[in-house]
Amino acid sequence: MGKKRRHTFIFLSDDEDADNASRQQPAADNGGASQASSTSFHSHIYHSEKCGLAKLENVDFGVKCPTQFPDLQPWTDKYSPREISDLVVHAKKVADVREWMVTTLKTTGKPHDGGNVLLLSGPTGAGKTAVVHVLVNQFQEVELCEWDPPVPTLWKEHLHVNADIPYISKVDQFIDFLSKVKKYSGLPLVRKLTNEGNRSPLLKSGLTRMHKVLLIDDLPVVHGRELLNKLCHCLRNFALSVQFPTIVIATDFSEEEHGQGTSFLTVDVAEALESGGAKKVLFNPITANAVKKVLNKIVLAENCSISSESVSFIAESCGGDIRHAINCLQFLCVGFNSVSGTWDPGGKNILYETPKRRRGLRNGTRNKSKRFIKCAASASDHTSSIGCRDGSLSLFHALGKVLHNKRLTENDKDSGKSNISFILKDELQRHPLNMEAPELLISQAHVDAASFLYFLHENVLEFVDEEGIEDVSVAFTYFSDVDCLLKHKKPNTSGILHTLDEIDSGHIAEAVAGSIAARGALFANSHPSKPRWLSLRAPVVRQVDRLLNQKKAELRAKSWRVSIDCSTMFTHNVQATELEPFYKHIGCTSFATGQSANIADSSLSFVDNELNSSLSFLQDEDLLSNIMAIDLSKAMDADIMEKSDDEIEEW
Amino acid sequence: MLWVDKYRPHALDKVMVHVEEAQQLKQLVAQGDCPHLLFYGPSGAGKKTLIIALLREMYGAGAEKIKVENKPWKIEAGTRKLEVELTTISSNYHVELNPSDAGFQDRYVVQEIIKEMAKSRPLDVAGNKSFKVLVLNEVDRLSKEAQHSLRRTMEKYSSACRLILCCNSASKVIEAVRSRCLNIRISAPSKEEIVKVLQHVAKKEGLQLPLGFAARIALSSNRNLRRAILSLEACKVHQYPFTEDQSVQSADWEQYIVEIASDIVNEQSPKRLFLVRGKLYELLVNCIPPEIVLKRLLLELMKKLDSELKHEVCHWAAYYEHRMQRGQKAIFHLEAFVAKFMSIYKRFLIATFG
Repeated sequence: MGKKRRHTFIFLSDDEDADNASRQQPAADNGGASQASSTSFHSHIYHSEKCGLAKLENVDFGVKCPTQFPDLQPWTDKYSPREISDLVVHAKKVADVREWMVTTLKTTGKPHDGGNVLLLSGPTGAGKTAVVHVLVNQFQEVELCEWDPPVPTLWKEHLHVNADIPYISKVDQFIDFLSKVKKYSGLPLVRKLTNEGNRSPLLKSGLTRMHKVLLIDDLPVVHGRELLNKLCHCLRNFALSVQFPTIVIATDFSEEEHGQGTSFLTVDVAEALESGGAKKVLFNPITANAVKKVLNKIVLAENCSISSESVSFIAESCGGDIRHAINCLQFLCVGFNSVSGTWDPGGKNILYETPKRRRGLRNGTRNKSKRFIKCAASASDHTSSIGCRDGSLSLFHALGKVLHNKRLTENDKDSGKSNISFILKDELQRHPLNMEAPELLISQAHVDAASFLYFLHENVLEFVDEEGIEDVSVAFTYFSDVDCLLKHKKPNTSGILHTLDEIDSGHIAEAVAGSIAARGALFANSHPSKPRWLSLRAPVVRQVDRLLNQKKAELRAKSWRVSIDCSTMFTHNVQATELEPFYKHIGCTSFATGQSANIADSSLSFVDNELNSSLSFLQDEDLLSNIMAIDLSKAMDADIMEKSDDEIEEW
Repeated sequence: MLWVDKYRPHALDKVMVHVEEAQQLKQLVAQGDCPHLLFYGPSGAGKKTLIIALLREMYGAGAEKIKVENKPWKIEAGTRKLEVELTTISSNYHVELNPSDAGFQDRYVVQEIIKEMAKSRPLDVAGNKSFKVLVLNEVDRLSKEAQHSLRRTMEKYSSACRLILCCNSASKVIEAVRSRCLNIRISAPSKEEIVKVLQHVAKKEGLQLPLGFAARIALSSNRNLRRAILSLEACKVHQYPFTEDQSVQSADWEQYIVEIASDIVNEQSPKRLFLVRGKLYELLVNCIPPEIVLKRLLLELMKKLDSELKHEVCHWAAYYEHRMQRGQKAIFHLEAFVAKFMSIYKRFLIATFG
């Protein structure tokens, strides 16, 4: 029964497709596009018929049927790069990896320390794996061996059937693998070689030895410092002693997910490997232009009817993740051709069955696709973010944007100026901003207004011209306003809202504060200093607070001794401003009474403490700035990458 | 023992400044009861001295047998349980504490301690129930919530205890609290009074104190008697016998502010502002209250300023001082003032000298 129904459905849908094809034609942008869409429909009908036939044979296939069109092989696989010229990764990075391969393959087998490991790191979808695969294909005598992590035993499973399955943590498994590979470097690889070698034409050509390249694409996720140290230690040893070329791919994901904070996993792993002599190549997100190029190629190959605006919108919103962009494109094109065709709420009631099932299968996707169809049908609704990645920025990127204060130049000024209907004084006029709205920046950076203010405050001075003290004064007036606004913020609310009901004056005050901080800094900085390499610092405001509290506690502890003398207690203000300085003067010479000697001691220790605390203060700062420098270098890399857009286009 | 403590008058009859107020207080407590009191006035004016003397007047020498305790107070606030560690000084008759040390939990502290005190009311000699005195320092630094809860507890437990509040600025105490207390303003002693006290101390110590030098100490103390006496003692350690032109010892943080002021006047640029920021942080970390930093800084800047600018600079200092009270982090407002000053000063320099 069910079988038959599905059968009917497919043929029905074909009819629908054909109907819709004629309906869609007037809506299409131009003649060329409509031509393309109609041809794609023909091929589509053909496929679905085939699918329907296949269905009849394969009874158990059941519910997944509507998605089983043969052309729905993921485009990311279908169009994965095969030649070096297909790659859109920056040419220099490719060259780096290639150079490493050439040199290590030459020296492989000969014992030498280090240099056999290559670490590729970068955000998701930056083409790390693709580069490796393409390059390995280029070298004919090289074979790629991947580490395939075994199916892990979950801890819960282990508890449930504890006798049968021994629990091995994923990290342990990985470490075990590393040590085995190190010891028996040739064994598993050689066997595989002979198997393939029998069939390989290379063997006939007299080549007896094939190079192995080990690819580790899946570092285990670790929680906690201890495990991480263990893993790092192992990786370091591995990097020092491994005898054949190995490529480790570390995806740098935490930055996107949390918006701030360095991904300690990646950083630590990278450090561990580098200390073992590994070479590191850092991949940047792929530029929007490059993504667009790839997408256009696919659109051409697939004969999709998709407007060029949509393509560029996908390319820009993917955040440099090309895999995501291609998936998005596929979703959009397929949705346009088939899903939108089959989905007809007013039509045959049989259709209601399928959407319901699909809803059961993948909750939410149907809803999305429904909305998406709407937006695709309206064809111009590009701001809808369905199917696109939520943009996120690292805190430093957002700060960099605000601090660098990029505005449209004189040439573009006219277009911006025409928007303003009233005349402002000269000194109040600014060029239009060449960036997203500052409020959006803050929300994308996932910071609360207070932290954003602290960061801005800490760094803004470097970004103002040496002569621009007036600008600084304006900016600080705004910061002062912001600080007052922030006082109304509730202490335990984060800036993130969950429902509309939660909004109260505190939230609004915080939102306004963030806006004023960013816009104030932007407005005030009318003479930005020349663009140059500037490292951002982490704010010390909170450290100062902490030290202040320490100091207060110290004073309080001391006031205990003091107050016996004077039969009253002093507030720490009085202590700090009046008593302590004079204790220092008086305490310099020895006093006869024990009590005063005590004071002298404490005042000496006070000096010591002060020294120590200011020292540790500095050290902290150093440490922090180091961490930030690492983080920042990434952000700056991204910046540099943006600048090299043109270069890529030429290439 | 420091001279400040050694020569603190212990009886209302013996005070050398605010003699009039002391006599009025004596009459006030003559019947054995008193209203809630709010002492306010600048630092080093003699508020604490008067309070201690008043306690002694009320309870006799027993009020001076004090013990210092640093004990944790367990407080149940609704569903939460807080534990606040607080230092108190107490005798059989009174408890003294700095509620603002408890940070933002101050309101619970005030309520809880007053309740605790009300539980154990002391008996006087005749066996009548009497009251205890709670001395609260720095009420102006209490949060508004704490002040409101103080108001309620004051009413509720007024039969069990008397409050003596002590603060620098009455304007930061809410109206409701002020109106429930007898407000007593303790003004800063005049320079002549300070000189008199200094000479008294010197005489007791058997020192020769030249009049001119005493006047200079009094001048540099900014009418703060405690500072004057501390400074006298420091000078004595530094050099004795005293000479007329001896330098007066001042606090190191003041020197630091002088330095900052000259930094600001010498160069007006973002880089210099950054340097100043570091120095301001250093002051704040060492517990120097930001209001005092701003005030001293203004005074130091004033010395180097053309009178044409003085009005404007004062205006901005007051403006940012007000902001500082309304905001959270003082550094923003301090720095905003410095930036504003730099901007004004630079404009002035360019207008004047081209």
